[in-house]
Amino acid sequence: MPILASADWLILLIYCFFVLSAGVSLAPAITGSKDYLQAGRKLPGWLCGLAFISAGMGSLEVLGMGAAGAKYGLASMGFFALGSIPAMLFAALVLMPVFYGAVSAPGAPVRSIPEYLGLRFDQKTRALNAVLFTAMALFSAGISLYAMARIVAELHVFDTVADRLSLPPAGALLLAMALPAVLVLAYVLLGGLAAAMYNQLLQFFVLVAGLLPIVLLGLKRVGGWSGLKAADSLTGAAHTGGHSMGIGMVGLVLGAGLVLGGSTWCTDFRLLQTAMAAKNAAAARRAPLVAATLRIFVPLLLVLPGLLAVGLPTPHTTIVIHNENGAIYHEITVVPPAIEAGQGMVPAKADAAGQPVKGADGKPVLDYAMAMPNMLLQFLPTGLLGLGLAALLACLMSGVAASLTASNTVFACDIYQAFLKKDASDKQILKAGRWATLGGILLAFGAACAAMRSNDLLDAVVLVFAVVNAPLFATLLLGALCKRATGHGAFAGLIAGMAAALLHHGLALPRGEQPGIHGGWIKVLHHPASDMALGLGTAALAFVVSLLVTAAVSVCTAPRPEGELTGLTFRSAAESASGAWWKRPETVAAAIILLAAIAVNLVFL
Amino acid sequence: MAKKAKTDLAVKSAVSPTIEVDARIAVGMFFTLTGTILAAFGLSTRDQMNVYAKSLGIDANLWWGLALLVFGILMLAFGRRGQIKMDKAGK
Repeated sequence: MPILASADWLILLIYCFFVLSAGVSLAPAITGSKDYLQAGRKLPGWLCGLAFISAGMGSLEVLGMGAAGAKYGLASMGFFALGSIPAMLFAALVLMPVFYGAVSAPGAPVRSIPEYLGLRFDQKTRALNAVLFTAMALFSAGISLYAMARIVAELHVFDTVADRLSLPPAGALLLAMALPAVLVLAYVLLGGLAAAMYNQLLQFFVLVAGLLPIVLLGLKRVGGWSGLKAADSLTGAAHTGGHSMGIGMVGLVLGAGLVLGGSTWCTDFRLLQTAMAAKNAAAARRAPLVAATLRIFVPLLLVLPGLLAVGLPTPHTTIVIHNENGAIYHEITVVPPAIEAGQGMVPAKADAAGQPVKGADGKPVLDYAMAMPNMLLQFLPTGLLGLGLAALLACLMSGVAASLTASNTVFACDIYQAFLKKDASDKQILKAGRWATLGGILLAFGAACAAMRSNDLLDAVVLVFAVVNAPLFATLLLGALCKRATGHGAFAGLIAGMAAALLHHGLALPRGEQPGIHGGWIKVLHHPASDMALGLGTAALAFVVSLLVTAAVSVCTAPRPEGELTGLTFRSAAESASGAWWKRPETVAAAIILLAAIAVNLVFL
Repeated sequence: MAKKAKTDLAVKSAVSPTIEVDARIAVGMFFTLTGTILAAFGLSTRDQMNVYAKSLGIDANLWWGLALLVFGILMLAFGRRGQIKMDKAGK
């Protein structure tokens, strides 16, 4: 059983101290709601860019990328690049100027995506999105708390602490969820979005510092490039033939590139809030560009550990006999059966008795989420292990903090000020934001406890995302690009998109899954190749339905007078900027980033 | 170096509370500190092969610690320069 030494503890504690001190040192500067909810709109573009990418790397994404590497191999690198970089560039060039530049009154810039919806469309669209977004953000924050706590419990690194406190296993899990939640609550309550973003900056670097050594050591261990290719042939790609996720090329480009990427990096306020805190419009456009540049290399850091884990030898129970001063020692290393049944460092899922869980085809079901965390224990010596665990803690906190700051802004601006107390003073909005932070973390913790009881909730995150974000991407796209789109159209489109997503999820079931949270809860009509394919299909359908219904209803309803839309659409926002759009430096930068991303991914195909 | 930067920061925030603090200073302080600790720990355990069996016989603490230390000092240097610039612009 791995035990943390004092060097590991020291590094973990120093990290926690720095995280808290960001909140404490910024607390005196928070005097109004703008400071608290939008970091004063004073931050430089590079900082917003790093926070942007860090907010998109919560525990679910980080564990998910490692798991995808182990499950689908090198093919997943292209998937993640396609699902992020084009959308980030689109956000930088087209959407950020609109979202950042929109004003609700002279000198009062838009504070959130629902507020933009209220200005561009109408109050009912704003209210619908505000409520759905808050629910989604807090639910997924809770799930990511649980997902990481489960991994940490499986690693058994904190077992000595739990033993000393004589906690039952469930108590240890609860503690592993509560401690990060309290840390995040403390710094978000004190320093608001600014503290969250300053910490996201630190979290990004801690993630790199903690995980890069396992990539380097892992590559050395399997024997470099040829070893990596050998590991790749052991993943799902080799078994199914063709693309390992069972999605055609067209589906991949449209599903991942357009819908999944767009509804994450162009739509999700948890990410966009960081760019909207920039000090000026140029910095707001630069933020997604900075993030896209770094994002090219993120799969190398997060997908490769999972893939390398597959290529390592599977541990087995061994007996080593050695002779020391005439005495014969039998050294027995016992490996639990669930780990022995795994593939490389990826263990099989264990049932209550510790035996491997078998799938419908008689093969053990692998617990892919453990791939990357197991690599930490495999390669990091005492000392660096502390930094590796800090990296896991960092990605968890940056994701939860992003959810918390986004939902408190949406609650304070779009629920409290917009509907509950229309004449609220700035002090009251600030207060509402702080109470929303406290309430938010409690709700998220409740979701985490619910997930602890029923593991299936982990898989519901993908569905919730497809229901809330994919239709919204269509709404925002039409809202920003097309002045003919109307409020009734947007509202109808959102509802129709959500209904379509739920219906599709209810009628399709991936092969080898039970009906329920994985799909097929109405009636199983067709079988997508994988969970990933079902998620993409659901999101794509929601997007298309929302787009079509919004367009159709908009054509039938009266358009808004053009004068009311000044600064709310891309065309009117672009008129005020100087020069043609293809001549601007950010367009050139975007083209260079796109080419670099293609080049990096071609190497791995 | 790390300590000095911290006191400077504390004085500044006491005089005029502001969000405009160069974030690189905190990052630099963190990595200077952890880099030093890791490198020192690596130096003191470099002969214990059982510690580094995991990292393929490489003293990963020492080398990675030194790399983080260099990164931390660079961030501190850039951060201080940025802070001076920001203060001038503020006045």
